[in-house]
Amino acid sequence: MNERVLIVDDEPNIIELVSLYLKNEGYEVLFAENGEEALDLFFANPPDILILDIMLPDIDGLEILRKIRKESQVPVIMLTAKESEVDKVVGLELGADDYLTKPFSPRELAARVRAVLRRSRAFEQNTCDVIETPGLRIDPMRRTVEIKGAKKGKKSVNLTATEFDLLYFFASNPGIVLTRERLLERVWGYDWACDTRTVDVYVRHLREKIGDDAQNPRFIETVRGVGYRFKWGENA
Amino acid sequence: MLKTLRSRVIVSYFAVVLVSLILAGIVFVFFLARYTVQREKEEFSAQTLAVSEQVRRVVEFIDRREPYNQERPLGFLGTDVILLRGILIASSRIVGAELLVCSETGRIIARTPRLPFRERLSGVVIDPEFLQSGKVMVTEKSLDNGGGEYLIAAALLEAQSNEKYFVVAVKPIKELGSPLGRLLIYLFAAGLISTGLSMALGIYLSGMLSRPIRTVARAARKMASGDFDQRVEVTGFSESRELARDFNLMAERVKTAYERQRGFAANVSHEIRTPLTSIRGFAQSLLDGVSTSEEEKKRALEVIESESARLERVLKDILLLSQIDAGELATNRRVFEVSDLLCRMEVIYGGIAEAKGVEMIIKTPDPPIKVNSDPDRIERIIGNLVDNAIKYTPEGGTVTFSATSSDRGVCISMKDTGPGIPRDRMEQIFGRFYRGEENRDEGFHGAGLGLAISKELAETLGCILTVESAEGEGAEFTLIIPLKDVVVND
Repeated sequence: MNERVLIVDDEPNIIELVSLYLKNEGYEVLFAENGEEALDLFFANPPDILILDIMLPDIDGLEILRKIRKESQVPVIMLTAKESEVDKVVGLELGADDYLTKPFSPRELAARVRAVLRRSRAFEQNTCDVIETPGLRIDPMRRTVEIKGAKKGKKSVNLTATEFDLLYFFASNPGIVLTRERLLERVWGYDWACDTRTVDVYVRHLREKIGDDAQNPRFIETVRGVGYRFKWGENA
Repeated sequence: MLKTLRSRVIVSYFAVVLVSLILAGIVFVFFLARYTVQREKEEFSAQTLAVSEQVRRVVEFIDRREPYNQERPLGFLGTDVILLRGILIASSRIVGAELLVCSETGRIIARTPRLPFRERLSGVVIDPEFLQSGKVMVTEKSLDNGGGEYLIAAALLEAQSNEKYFVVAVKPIKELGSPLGRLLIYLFAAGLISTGLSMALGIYLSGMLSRPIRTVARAARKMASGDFDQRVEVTGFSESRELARDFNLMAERVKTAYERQRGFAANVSHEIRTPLTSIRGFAQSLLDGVSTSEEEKKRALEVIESESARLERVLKDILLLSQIDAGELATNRRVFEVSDLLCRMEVIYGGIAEAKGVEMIIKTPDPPIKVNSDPDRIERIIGNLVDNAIKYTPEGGTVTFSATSSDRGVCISMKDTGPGIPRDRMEQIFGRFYRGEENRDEGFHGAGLGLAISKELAETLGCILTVESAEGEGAEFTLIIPLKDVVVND
């Protein structure tokens, strides 16, 4: 059976464009032009992936994501026309799996849909071991992360799906410099060149949540001009 | 050192205190010295009188013991003189001066040992006429022996004798006012203390004066670095309160302007990005061969064309608004008939209204009204309003379009039977990039600039644009062209 994509955007032209591409790739496409419609459609015909514009006439796209996240862990790619909204999209607890800013290439959107779907499928099949470093305990089955502080004891952190995958991948490769491209490929599943700023945005939010300081990192170190490196708790 | 307001205030405060202290000190010392010398002179003469009284008693005692006679013409002889001298020495300790008793001719009969005169009281004129009982004559005299100036007081010794005798007290003038020295020390100490206190007070006061300035400066610096949430506490003296209030007002304005600017930029980018996404996407679909059928290809080209036109409209609107903002909008005023304008609206929008199933009613003014204004701009203002009215009016509704004369001017009004405007949105609708919900639902391609442009154009032309509406009862926009622009037919 074909995978079902739900597109929510108030611009009919953009819906038309995206569905043109996705139908071409063999997806089943549903669309909604406003929030009410989107929620109705979402719960009536649960899609495999949701493409959601933030700026909608009735309900804010983020609000729709919040409502959907209460029920479902469906992968979500957000569309935004404002750079300033990117942090909101990525940073919220509900966490979108990815985002694209307008104007975007429909080809790239289709590729991202493919990658995000592949990742979520891979996740369902994967059974990974718990990773325990001097500073962190990452449990991929429960999708939980605990920070072991020097004094305060354990503190569990809420990460979004992408943030978790990113941290898990970092922790699986301690001490190795990971380029942005490699992270995109392994965490996001993108096997083509695209905007590597995405990685920086997600790393920034991940650092914030696990209480890591970019200037004096405890876990994720920036390797200038190359990428990032996970520290196996030398300073922990 | 004097670069800061604070140091300037301290130094000026200090200088003022110091100058006034010195002035007050000089005046005080001057008068005090005069007063003290005066007092000492009086005391000196009183003491001299007292000594003369003492001596008189002794002389009386001598007289009683050995009555005055021819053998003792001078009154004092032998042991009497020794007695007299003893009394003078004793008294001189009390008076603090050298004493002597002399005759009318200046011959010294008895004296204290350290008296600067030897045999005679030379150069001192004693006026016996003046020296009645109880009077003392005080003179200042410079002596040749190098002893400096002396204060000399003479009192008449009232004795029963032929000759007149005087008791004379001599005191160096430099010994006068000696308590003044200690007083000056006190005065100096007090000056030091008050200077110190004034310094402390100056530091405190200057701090108080400069604090609001420094606070505002700090806030301004933060604002300059982009933090527009700076507010200063309104406190202190009235000027500082004023400064703080004005600063806060300015910060508020700057913040609003900045946010508006940023919001505007964000909205502009949104309005440009959206059509750009379609243009780029559909072009890509042609290149990628995703749009394959002839129909799809045509559709893609249509979207590209219409979205380009939309982009152009947005850019024109933004350009117009920026011209209004910069005050560079050229207006071309001339006299025209309002009914002509109404008719043109019917021509332009009649078809659109009909297509939507909306009835358009035009009420032309009778008699005709002529106004002197910019017809193109007025047309733009009204065009936006008519366009909106038709868009918001559901099928079967009516849009009434009329022009009437009133005491305020010519009122051109557009009344629709649409959903109306919620009360809380009345202010917002004229804002830039505002769009009603229904508006967007229908895939309306405007950027939400129409009403903002109408309003701002109206203001540029000196007209007033108002709206009246109740939710569910439609909206009525009225453009009022002021009386001064109405051309009266004669």
